[in-house]
Amino acid sequence: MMSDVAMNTPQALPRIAIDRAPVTVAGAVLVLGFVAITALVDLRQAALLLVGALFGLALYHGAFGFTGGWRNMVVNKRGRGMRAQMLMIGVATIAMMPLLAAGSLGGQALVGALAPVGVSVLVGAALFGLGMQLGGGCGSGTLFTVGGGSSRMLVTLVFFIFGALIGTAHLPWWLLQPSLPAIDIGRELGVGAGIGVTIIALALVALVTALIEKKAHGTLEREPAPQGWNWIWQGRWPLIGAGLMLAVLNVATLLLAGHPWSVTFGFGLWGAKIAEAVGVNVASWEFWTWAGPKAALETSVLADNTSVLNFGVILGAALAASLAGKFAPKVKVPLASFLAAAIGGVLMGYGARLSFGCNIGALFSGIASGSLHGWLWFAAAFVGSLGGVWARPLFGLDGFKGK
Amino acid sequence: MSTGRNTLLFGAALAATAAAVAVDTYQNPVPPAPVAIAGARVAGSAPCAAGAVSAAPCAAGAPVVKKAAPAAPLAKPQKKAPPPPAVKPE
Repeated sequence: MMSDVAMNTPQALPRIAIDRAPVTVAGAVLVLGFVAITALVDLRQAALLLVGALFGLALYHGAFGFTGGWRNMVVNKRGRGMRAQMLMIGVATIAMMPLLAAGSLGGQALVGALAPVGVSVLVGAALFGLGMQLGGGCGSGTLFTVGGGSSRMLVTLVFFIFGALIGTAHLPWWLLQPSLPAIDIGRELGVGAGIGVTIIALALVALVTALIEKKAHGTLEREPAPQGWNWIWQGRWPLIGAGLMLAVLNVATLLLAGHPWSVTFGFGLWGAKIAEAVGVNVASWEFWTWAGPKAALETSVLADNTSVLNFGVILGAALAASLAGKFAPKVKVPLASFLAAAIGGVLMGYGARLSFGCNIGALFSGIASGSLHGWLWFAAAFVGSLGGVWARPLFGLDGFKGK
Repeated sequence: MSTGRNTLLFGAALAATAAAVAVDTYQNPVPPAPVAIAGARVAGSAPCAAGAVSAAPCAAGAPVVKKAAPAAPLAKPQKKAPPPPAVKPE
């Protein structure tokens, strides 16, 4: 994605072809949204919109996707993306575990992304991993690529929402399947040891990727050195820098919202509201009778933290893409690719609901909160992802053998 | 390079989303500030994996409730009642 303009222009002030209309619209919606949410909810909620926009900016300019990073590891044996992910989770862990152990800060209650370790996580994460390779993006990836104007990912998002809604219908049954309770590593081992064990485990994953890469290529892939300053607006940001920014923003989310970054609850909620609007009595489904979902369904999406963050991510990515002159690139979506996007979206939505989140809510925030389910999610999703890479050629996409 | 057609598509999607949010906010108003704050901070609008039992909308709280469900009516009627949501055996 490093533009040819950046590569071929030695001058200090290269021309940046900004997409003016999308910049104006995305910027205006962001400002209006901030004002509206401040008026209707509160300033803290409005601040989440801005945090979401910064997430979108970092995700887009860093091209920080879990899907591509995992595929690059298993197909090309390049692990730079996965190592950046481990670093990101590790940094967030160091900040989050002590905060969560304290329980509150400045009157703000803080709860982690803790969830049971059971069959629903195992199955859901595997489905999610499979779906993310077919859909072409994970939870965060779908959001920031939609923000960047990808019409294919718009298809994925629509079906993601549909899958998440179906997941809410089935989750009560899945929760009856065998499961251990939520296991908080920080509480079981103590905060210091919990952080230590988590960092060691993350480092081990990074080490394995490095060993595989070194064996395959002889050397480790390096971050391309940025040239000049226009990379700030045009990308691509260094993966490590983007990852560190995402870690800081996740901690900011915890402090503002009282819980870490999460994406897919919002998708299920949007699906439920759409279904209600067309006459489906979603409110009677067991999931939507539970306190949190019921409250979310009965009030504006602007009061839902996850939805506001999601809106912010899309707008931030749209702003980033437009400033870089890359908004809404012309892309052909053949029927097979469309089908893959649809199937992948449904699998991700359904899987995320079963496994208490996606790569963000379960993997990133789960592990950083010290929840053991985050690790189970990681393992199961990675296995599912292998299945997804294998299945991609069935839809005309590149698989294990590349393009 | 962006295209006018794609940009228009996303403009339409944005307009539709904005309209839907406006209608949703009109039909489901945000509760008055003190209630909203109490809900968000204590009872929790925390999304699915949030920890506190009373707060967790779809994760940690739910399985605890569901696991307790089969045993409660038969053997241990005096067992401490699980927190809401109410159990609905299927």
